[in-house]
Amino acid sequence: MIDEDDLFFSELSIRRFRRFKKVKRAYYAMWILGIVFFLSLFCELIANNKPYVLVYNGNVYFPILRFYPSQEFGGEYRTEADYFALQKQSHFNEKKSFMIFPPVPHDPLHSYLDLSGEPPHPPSLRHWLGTDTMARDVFARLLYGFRICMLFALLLALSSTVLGIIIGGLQGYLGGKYDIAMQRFIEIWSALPFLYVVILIGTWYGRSFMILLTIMSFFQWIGLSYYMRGEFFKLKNMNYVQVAKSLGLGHFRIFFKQILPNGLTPVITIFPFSLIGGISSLTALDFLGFGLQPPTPSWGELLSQGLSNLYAPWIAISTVCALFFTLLLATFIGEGVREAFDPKSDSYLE
Amino acid sequence: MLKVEGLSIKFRMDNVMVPVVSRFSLGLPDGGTLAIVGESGCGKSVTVQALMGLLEPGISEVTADKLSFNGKQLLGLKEKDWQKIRGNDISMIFQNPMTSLNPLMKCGKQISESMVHHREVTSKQALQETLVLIREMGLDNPERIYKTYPHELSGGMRQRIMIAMALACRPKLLIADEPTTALDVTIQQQILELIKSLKVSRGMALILITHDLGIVKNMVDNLAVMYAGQIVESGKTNEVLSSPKHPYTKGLLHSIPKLSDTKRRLTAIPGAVPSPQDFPNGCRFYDRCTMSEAKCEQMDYFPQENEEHFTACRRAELL
Repeated sequence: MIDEDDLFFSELSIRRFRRFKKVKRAYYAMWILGIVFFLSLFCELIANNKPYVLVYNGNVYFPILRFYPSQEFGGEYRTEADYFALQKQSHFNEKKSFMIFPPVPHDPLHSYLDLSGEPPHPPSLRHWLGTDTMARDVFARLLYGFRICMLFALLLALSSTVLGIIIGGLQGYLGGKYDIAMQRFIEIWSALPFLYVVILIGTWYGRSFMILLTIMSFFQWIGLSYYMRGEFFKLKNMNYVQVAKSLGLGHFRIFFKQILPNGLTPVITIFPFSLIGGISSLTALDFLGFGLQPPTPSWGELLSQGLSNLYAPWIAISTVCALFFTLLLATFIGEGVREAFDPKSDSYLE
Repeated sequence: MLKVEGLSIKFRMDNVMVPVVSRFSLGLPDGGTLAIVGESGCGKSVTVQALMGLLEPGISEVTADKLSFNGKQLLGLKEKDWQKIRGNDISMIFQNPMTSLNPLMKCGKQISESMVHHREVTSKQALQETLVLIREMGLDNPERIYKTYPHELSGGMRQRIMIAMALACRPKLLIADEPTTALDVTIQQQILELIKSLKVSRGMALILITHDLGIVKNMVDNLAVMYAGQIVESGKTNEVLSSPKHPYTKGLLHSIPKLSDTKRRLTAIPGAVPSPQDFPNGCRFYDRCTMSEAKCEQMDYFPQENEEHFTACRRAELL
């Protein structure tokens, strides 16, 4: 069909994607990070201390989906059954019962108090990366922490991008008094000590995911808004914008259809780096203890545990490695995107 | 249809409002044609931008005794109402087709966009009409053209797309602001022919802005010559060209090179156009005129309504 709007499949975009593909490490980094992130969205199926299927006394149960009281399996209490303990009980094995666990049969919030010795426990066959100071499985916590971290960074990058485009774009598009007023406001706003604001609001309203995301996106948009202001200043005086105006198109259309697509380059090149920024700042906040509410699995919290328990190096080493590789992959992607959008490679002049 | 009387435009320069165009008047009947001629910086483009309400209100000031289109008062119109007129009743073609198209939008989309915006048509209807319009512009294979991006087309083709965009909503008045300046000579002629035939087939009025006296002869009925923000001479094209009544018009006509005349040195008008800050009080051509006298410094003539052949020169009979 002739009429589909394919800005993202224009010849230039295809050429840019091809160039991105040519930067091998960026291309593979995108796949690896993409797949790992996609898998991490289904963490509950990968790392969970409840089995997928349980057959007991001829009945079939799906503990991963539903709650079963312990009494169901011959226990005494009406609380949720401890499937790990149940597996070892003699009456369970006598009744031709079995259960299938996920590949990592641990919950990130569950403390394994049955292990011998003091926590943190060193890596073993049961706990691949050992346990932390509260005897929780490090691998499961890393996995869940990765999901929260990536989700947070993605949402933060998205929301700050939207804010940056709208505020910076309006500054450039409207110019004049709005621009000057907004610019002064940004100067004051960016001088606010971010950490104090986080601590203050955290003590007042609690430290939930959404609150943290909102506070941080209120501070993150500033960087992009400078670029968008410049782009809109430049582009609103382009001839085709004047033409659109002379055709009687409204401000909304001119803003979003004529100017914005032409000014997207800084948005796309900055996006991977603001993702990196999001990951590191959440980790840093968690490390300092001003981030997400414990016991939420988080890399920053693991790092601080690792630092205060240097005799248990598996905590620090595994977390640092995970953080390092995530940031490295994201940087590779950012580098590839920058390469793909480099206008110099389109020109044959030196 | 279009009536302009005593239009003045001022721009803010160093916090002072400087008059750029003063007491500009013109009347254009339905289907009428007019060319505004003058050298760069004389205020042609600014005038038509004011007619379309495109001047930024903060830095410019437009006043007029009368400014109406089809009986509708244009002065002091709100931006929302201007948007209904622009592209719909009055359309404009710009001079540089290389930069006047959005590089990230398909040509067909750019044409149909104002259709969808101004008229209540479905996207399917808009598509059909766009294809017809592209063919009407003399471009073959409209389906292919519809899908191209501007960088895939040549300058002449892009100017045709521009014209199609301007005509998408069947405007009653088309303003062509130096439509051929950026094109090479063979293409110029084709584009002018196209504009002329479209004007006739659609019965719309045309204001052609140019600094090329050579092209106005066969294009328009009326001619207005502008100098330093004022109309210095206006009238029927043939009359103005054959018997100019203003030394500036005469000077312009003399400075067109003729192929037959190889011996004569090309005459030029001495001096340059004064900048708006130091426009003289009386005749603005005073400094550069060969036949000026002291009294010219107080001259203040402006075109009146229904004046057949107007000249701002008080010594016109001596020409």
